[in-house]
Amino acid sequence: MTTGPAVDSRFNGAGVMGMFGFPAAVSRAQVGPLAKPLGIALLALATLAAGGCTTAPTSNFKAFAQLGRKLETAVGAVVDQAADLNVDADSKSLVLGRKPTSAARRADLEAHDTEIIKAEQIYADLKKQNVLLSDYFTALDALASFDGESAIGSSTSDLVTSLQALSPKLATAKIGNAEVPDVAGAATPLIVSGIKSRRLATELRRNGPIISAQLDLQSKLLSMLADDISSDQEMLAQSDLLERVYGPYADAKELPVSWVADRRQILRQQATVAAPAAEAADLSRKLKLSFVALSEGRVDASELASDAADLDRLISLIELIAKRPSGGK
Amino acid sequence: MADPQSVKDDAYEALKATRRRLTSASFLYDLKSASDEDKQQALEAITNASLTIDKFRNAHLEAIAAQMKDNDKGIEGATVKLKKALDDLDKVKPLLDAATAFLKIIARVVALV
Repeated sequence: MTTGPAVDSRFNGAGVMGMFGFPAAVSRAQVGPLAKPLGIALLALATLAAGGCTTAPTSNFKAFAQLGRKLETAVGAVVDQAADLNVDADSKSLVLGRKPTSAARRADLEAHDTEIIKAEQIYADLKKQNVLLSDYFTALDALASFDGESAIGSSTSDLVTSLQALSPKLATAKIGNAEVPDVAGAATPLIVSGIKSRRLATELRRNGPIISAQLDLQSKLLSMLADDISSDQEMLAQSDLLERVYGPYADAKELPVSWVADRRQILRQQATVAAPAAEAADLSRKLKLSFVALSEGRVDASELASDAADLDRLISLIELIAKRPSGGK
Repeated sequence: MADPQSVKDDAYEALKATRRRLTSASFLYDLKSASDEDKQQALEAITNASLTIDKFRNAHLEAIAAQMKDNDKGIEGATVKLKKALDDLDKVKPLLDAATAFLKIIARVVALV
């Protein structure tokens, strides 16, 4: 948009009026003190009208931006899950391999702590990247959700009405076959929407490579985290299985009443715990493809809707795992 | 000759597989009846494998975090531009309202002349 400060510097009464079918003879000198406000109104209309040439639906940008925001929420939860399991699996290995002497135990603990602290810093860095992408999608959503079109239409109509009272020439001016006051109020929401689409498309084209590269890296990261989560969870589950399933089943005279439920919970949890990370990796890849399609103006709204449904399922899955008695561990 | 990255990846996978075997419920169950020496060796192997896995994992994640960090400024800049585009749209209505208010003053002055 260039209707802000650029309006004054680009003001040229006759030229702008010419764009709306005014006779070139209606110049700044003739409109006298009205020249500046008249110019603002007409230049605002001219700029809005120029933006109206682009007709890409902003609903796709909005749907995409909201997908991005949801995905980043899910990614944050997956990073947290990976970080938690990383510490727990490491702790479990220390418990299993506890050395016989105090000095050896302390040495082990220090060595493991060093790596875990380093890992925590890396996870924190990864979450910062996640927040940056989330901020980007939030800004994209805010722009795509801009809903001031009707208010701008109403203000434009008021301005033109005020101008009519002062300038009889404007009262009879036409854009094509329509009179300026009619066009100004009714068309502005549509025109502003066009500007919005154009700005969104321009920004996506400009930022495409970097956002696309970041989504690629995020997808790679999520695949790695899915593997790590699966590996850590398996180790924790095996230890649980030994204590609550194998041991009692092989050695105890009578099985605990919870044995069946314990076994089911451990085995099923092992199967599903890495699913959110794997799904998030897949959705991150899909989001990247949608991003490329959107920036090239060929996004499919039904695909975005399908991805949104997958994301809702993913978030439900993450919530379900987080609510389990062991918190997904 | 294999490239260093794939050697690292293979080593990491082998370590995870080793830890998986050493920490499986059946292996740990059998270990109960093993000699003290075997038991001690196996338990040491578990902590050592875990520590090495921690190191490999950190190296992997650090590399990807560094690549993502390289894009920080570009993403921040893109966000700022989107916010600026929204600010520009937000400015349109006040601008038009200000011009309308100005014209109403002019109309009153003109009526007096």
